[in-house]
Amino acid sequence: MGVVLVVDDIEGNARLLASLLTADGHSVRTAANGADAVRLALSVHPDLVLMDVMMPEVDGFEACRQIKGQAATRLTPVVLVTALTDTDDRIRGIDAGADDFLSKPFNRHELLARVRSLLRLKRYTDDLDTAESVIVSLALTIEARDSNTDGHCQRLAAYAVSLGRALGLDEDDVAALERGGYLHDVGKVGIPDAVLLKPGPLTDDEFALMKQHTVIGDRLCGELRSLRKVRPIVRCHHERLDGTGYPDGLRGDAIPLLAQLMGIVDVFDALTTVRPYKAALPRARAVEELKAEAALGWRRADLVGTFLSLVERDLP
Amino acid sequence: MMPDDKRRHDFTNHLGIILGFAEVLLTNMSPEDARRSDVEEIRKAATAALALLAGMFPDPITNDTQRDSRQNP
Ligand SMILES: [Fe+2]
Ligand SMILES: [Fe+2]
Repeated sequence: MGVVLVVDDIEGNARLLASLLTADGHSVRTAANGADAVRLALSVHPDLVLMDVMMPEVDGFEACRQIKGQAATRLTPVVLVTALTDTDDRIRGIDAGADDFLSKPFNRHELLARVRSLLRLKRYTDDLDTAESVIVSLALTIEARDSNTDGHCQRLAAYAVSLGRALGLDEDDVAALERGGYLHDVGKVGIPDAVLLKPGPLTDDEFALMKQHTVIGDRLCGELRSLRKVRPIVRCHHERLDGTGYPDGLRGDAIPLLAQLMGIVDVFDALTTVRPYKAALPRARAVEELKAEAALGWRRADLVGTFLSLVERDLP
Repeated sequence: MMPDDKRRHDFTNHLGIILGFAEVLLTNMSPEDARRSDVEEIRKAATAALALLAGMFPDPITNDTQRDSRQNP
């Protein structure tokens, strides 16, 4: 349980959030505008800020930017509360440094679950140094949104590192693969829950939106010099050798090697675990699928072969 | 933001407050409370109004296609 700062210019909204959060054991402070929110964030040191986007004068984006711009409050998680379908809002929110989004009207259980997991994360990152905690918190925030991807990032990091080592890559590349495992889908923070967690088939428009996670992630990493080698992994992990992948339709060697490796381990993990739109496949079927993708000319057969021999050796 | 969006947003806000507090009351009332059914009516009406509002301003996304494992994000 922690201290939550609720920011909303409509008093009824602020009171509603306050009574839900108080009943769940948190202590709540409220602010009625962006300027007060920034002031309170500095003096109260909340563990989490829950902020409406649409407020007169200093709106939620600007207040978020100011909170994230000050050293004392930079690591305070900020959740922006936006209208249901507004993708533009999300992209603006990411630019402002927001950690997560909630859609109005919100579901009570979802709200409380999200707040709890972000508070857990805050306690965890309080113990890490800045650079590392930014990376870990971004990655784990995404995972927290989608219970189906539980452990996905960690597994990818582990698979990618052993694949990189088996191929004799240098330690720089192996380190990039590890971080890439955590960060490859970080751009999903910009994808609305309605699409990210949709149980059925995606429409063309929704799939087009989903593809944007590569570009959004690349842009997020662009801010951090230490992630130079990780960016190509984030952007290109869905490319295919024959040019039918996304976002850029790159072909062959134009796809960075580290991204090709991440693509292989990502497909394998996605196939062998449950997703909102499908059940898990048995390992043997996933192996067949990867071989089929190599045969189709989507992936390098030698890389797939190396990975599959690792799978057979290390994952009984 | 267009004036229509703004109006929908405000409307959703107010309905969300009504719905939210109805839910808070229901959680805090004992199961035998005679006023439960009254609050239940408030909750139902607010839910219906939100659905109506969503119907009046539908999402632009409509056409359906198949999603297969290749769409893995
Ligand atoms: Fe992934
Ligand atoms: Fe991805």
